[in-house]
Amino acid sequence: MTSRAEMLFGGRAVVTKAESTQMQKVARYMWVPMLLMGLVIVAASLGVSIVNAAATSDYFGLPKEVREAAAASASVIDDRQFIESTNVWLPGFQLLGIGLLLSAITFSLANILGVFRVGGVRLQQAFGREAQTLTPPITARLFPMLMMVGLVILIVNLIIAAFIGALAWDVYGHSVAEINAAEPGSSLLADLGTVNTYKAWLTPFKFVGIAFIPVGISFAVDTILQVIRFQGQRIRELAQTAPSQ
Amino acid sequence: MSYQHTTNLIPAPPIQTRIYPILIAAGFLIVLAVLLIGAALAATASDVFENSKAVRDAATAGSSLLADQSDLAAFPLWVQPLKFLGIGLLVTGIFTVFWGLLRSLREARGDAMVEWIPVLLAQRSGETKGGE
Repeated sequence: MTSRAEMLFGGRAVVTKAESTQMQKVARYMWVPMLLMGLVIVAASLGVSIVNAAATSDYFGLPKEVREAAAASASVIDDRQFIESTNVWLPGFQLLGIGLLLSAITFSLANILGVFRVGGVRLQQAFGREAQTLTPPITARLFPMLMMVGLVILIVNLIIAAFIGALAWDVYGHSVAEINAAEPGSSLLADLGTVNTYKAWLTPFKFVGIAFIPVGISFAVDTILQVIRFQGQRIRELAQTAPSQ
Repeated sequence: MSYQHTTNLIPAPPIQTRIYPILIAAGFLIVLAVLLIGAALAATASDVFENSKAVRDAATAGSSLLADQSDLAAFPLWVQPLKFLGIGLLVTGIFTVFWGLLRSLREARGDAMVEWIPVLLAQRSGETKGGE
């Protein structure tokens, strides 16, 4: 049975094969796609932002009476629709990119743990000793889960933002004059209220998703720290015991 | 097969391992607090946008509608930097644990390698000679 101390700080296991754990094997192959997906999303966000900036420039390049006229031209309304809906979903998309980049760091750290594990076992075997490794401390069990929770929050945030972005597209498909004249109880005012309500909590929600990932990174680094301490201890033990042990 | 993990031959864990959880917890709690403030602002926004623009624009001084609109405009101005303070503390926590990692590399593993790898090599060469 695993003791509390062993669960928190890890115990020791005797191994015969110098190989990474399953998670570390996955991490070896996953950090590159995560990095690439993150970079692609961040770059795509830049592209959309430039288009959005151009639309905003066009829109606010018009006099106020033209922008807010009851019979505003289709191009004016199109610009406003694009600006308002993009402003809802784009920040969540950008942060998903950042989240994937941070996840690539988490996977890299898991990969480093695998290298330490294999290297430690091979070194002990090279000296003809019993190969021992640190069993996963609680930080090692938690960091992949924290990364996954963070990414799931960012994806859920993006899905909600896409729906709200579509709603914003509908709302701003009306002229400013129509939106301003919306009466209480009308679906237009209700939709405008929904867009503004969701924007208020979606902004901090995605940062909660982002926050989970650095917590996971710090736990991964702590795990490496514990492995390094274990290896320091093990080197001293090997030197102080007879080779036959 | 498992053994009790002892650390009697290496220095105690660096102090950074006790500081970083505090920084991480503080940063995470700030980000969660910002989410709660965002939820409260969402409720305020919902109240405000139940009224038509004409009513919103005509809100008189001292009315709850004007106070709500003021909150919607003012809160994000300080909540945004607060959120980044939380993220900043999280990053500082990561830096702190890396600092502890560096110390462990030097003090636990590095010193052990410098002192004891030559001993292990000597033992191994003795074994090899003995076997010849």
